[in-house]
Amino acid sequence: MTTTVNLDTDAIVQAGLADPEHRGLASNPARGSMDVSKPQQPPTYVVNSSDDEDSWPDKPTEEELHTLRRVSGKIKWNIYTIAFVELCERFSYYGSAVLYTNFINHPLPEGSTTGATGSAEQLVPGALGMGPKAAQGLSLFNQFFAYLMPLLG
Amino acid sequence: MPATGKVEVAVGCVTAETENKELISSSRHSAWIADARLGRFWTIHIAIGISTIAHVILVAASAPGVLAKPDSAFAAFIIGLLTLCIGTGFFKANVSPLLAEQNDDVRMRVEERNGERVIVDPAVTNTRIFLYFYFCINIGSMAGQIGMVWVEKYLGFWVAFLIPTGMFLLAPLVLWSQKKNYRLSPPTGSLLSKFLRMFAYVQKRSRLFKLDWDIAKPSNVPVNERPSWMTYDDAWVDEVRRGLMACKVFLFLPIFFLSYNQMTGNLTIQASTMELHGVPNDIIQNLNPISIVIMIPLIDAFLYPGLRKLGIAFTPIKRMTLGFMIAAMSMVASAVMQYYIYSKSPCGWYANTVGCDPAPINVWAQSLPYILIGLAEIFANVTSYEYAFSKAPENMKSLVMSVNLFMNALSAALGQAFTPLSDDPLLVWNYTVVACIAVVGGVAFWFCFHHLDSEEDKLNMLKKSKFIGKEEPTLAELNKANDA
Repeated sequence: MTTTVNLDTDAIVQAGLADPEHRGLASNPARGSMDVSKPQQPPTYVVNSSDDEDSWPDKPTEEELHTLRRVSGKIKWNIYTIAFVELCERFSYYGSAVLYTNFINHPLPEGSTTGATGSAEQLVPGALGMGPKAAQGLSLFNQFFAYLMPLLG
Repeated sequence: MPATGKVEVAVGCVTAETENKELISSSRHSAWIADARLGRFWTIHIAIGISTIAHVILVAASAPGVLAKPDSAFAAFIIGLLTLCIGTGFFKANVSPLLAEQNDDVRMRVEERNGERVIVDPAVTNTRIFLYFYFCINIGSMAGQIGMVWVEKYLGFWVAFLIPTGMFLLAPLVLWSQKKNYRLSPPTGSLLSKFLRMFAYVQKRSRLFKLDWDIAKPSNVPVNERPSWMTYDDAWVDEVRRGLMACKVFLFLPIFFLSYNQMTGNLTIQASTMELHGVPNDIIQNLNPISIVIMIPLIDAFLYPGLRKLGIAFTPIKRMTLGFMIAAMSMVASAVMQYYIYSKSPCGWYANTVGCDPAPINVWAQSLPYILIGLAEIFANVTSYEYAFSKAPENMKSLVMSVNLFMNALSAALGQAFTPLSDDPLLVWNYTVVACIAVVGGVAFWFCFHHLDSEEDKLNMLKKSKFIGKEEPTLAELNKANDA
């Protein structure tokens, strides 16, 4: 924060001075938006900023920080939805990746067009029948490609 | 990997799992895109687009008509696999920062709950968010892995590839329907270059080995002497410094993953030298996600609140140190198990010889190392996610996250150095060495970082930078000076 008030202070030294309102939210509508046409906040806010940022109504005191029990805030519903999205993604990634080896390694079981064995017998599902060496080679190729990706970018 | 023969299992498991780790490194690039150009939400949508295409290609490659022509099936399969790599790399690096952004509890406050005055601490909320995030990751991967193996066997490959596709399409539906409810931080211009310039600026002006970041704070530089790129604010400098400290913590992660990676390779092979009673040796691996899914709610409901009640601050650094120690215990358990296998196997210290009968030890005895690794993951790995996000500047979160993930890739390379030990009769030594490394790593970790521990509250309460999105807090000042 470029305030004249804080000119020579180190924010770390000023422990406990979190800046609540300004986390890309609320107080200034233009902040955190792409809409730069809105007027910038006039520099006058600088003067009184230390007041409303250094303390807030229910801020714990130094003593309370050491004595009171700490609890979790409420986890909002939208956080669960993102976790669910990740659940779906992991399901589909691992659900697919787990199939690679058999797909490459073993041949189609006899009489099968889909690769399924259709029974609980010992038959292993497969499709391309290229053998374990091909399966491993493919994995190495995949590794190499994945390492190359970020470099190309 | 659900293959059944011993050889393929060994090969398949080791390589396929490491490949998962590797592809994470492709996320570094996408993180930069997300932080600087597009914004997280839309990068995720691009990732979803790429992955959807990948899944569709995989389904097509395994369609019965295509399977009749193995060459074209193989070609399509490869394209699908690579596309999925890219899509996943983009997705992974951005979904967790998006999650971290949603916690708008940013300041501690005193509240009264059931007659008791308590502090609602955003750091505690964050811990819980990441615990349950990890919980979901494990449910997803476990269900996918176990379920699709079964579908593959009874319904065929194309159904087994189709179900993940369908499951995946739920992701954009949920995201779109909830878009209004998400907090999305906008992208900042080319942040990396700004960071590098700041770094060079600091380095040039401070003593060797002792960087004085305050030098780069705009308030310490007279306006007319400021370079044109200095449009951030003082708080951003502090956030960057804090983010770099978090990255230092990551430097120890490969040591943890060295133990973790034993699970997907050596422990799966170990299972094949034990009495399986009809259980495929690679199914045993799922004990790890299962134990995680069981333990996370327990830890969240009893362990963490209990410790807080006792007034013990179980801070991230402490948790990670404990994680290293538990990982070491898991390796000790594996080493002991391996010793018993060697002494009871009909082939003695060459238990992995092809055609050798299994040692008369039930494979479920492996539960112990797997459960311990799961516990270690919760303490070390989940905490590292949490730590990364709580410390990184708002507009550098994706980048810090991908540094974290990149450590995964690095540890796979480190693991390669230990492959000479992954054979009879050295396997006991393999686990012992890894256990020792984990203990040493844990102790070193504690000595390097316990000072951060005492500053935990201070660090979490740093002023937030206003350098968010296109907002450049000190730009106006700079322009004014130039005009004058």
